[in-house]
Amino acid sequence: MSNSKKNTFLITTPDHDDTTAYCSAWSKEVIDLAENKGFTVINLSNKKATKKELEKRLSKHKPEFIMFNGHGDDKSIGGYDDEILVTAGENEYLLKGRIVYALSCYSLYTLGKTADEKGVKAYIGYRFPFAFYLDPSYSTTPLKDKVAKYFFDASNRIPKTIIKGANVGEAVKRSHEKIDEAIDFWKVQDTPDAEWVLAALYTNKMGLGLEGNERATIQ
Amino acid sequence: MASEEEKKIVLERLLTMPPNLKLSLGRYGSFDKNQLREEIENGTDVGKIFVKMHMEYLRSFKKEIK
Repeated sequence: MSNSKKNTFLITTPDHDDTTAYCSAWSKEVIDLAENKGFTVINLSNKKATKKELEKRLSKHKPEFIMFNGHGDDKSIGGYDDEILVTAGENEYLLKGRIVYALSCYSLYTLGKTADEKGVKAYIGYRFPFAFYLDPSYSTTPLKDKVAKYFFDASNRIPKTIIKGANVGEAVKRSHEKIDEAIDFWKVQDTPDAEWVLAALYTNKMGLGLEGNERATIQ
Repeated sequence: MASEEEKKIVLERLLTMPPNLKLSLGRYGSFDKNQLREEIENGTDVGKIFVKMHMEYLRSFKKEIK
């Protein structure tokens, strides 16, 4: 019997609007991978994605890796119904010693920096909006949306690479490579949606980055 | 800040956007082509972000061709 400690992965999956519903639905493959790799997974789903619940779970389970799905701005990340979970200058100390991936708009800009100052191992996020195109006919089945897939395949490269044991710098690099693959694909599509999808992929590529130690791993 | 010229370029190009496509832009929500047109014409934050996003992309595309 192994005595090795199981790693813990905490993820928020609110789904109170189209954007959070898509982000959370596409997180299923990340959760499945973490479970298959033997992680203890704590999923603060839907109405459980609150500040109180987050603080309680962080204190009790001390996850090595956190992924936030939620709306954000440069100073904060939200949960269910946009309740603010983490704010720069207020409670980013909660992230100390952990790796964080925020699938959220703008938060790398200020929160990523202050989290780094307060001792986060690494904070991966976006300096600009995380933008994606969707086909509304798949609003109840987001995983079947073939346009959205290109955006979430690239985003999911980050947590998947980290869960597999690589460092955060490698995770960001692989996500950039996945965006480049998508850009190469859409560049040669002679369809009216190509230009728009390309512009959003380009925005995400420019916005994605990290603060903290790029060699950090969950080990 | 989007110039009038940039707004005009993006509004013109919006005519080609398929009706079944929606842009999700974080907490601002999701927008189809008609809603994006309104946002640009009304000078809202969404309109400004959208014009900026598209112009940055067009500039990058131009650089690549050069």
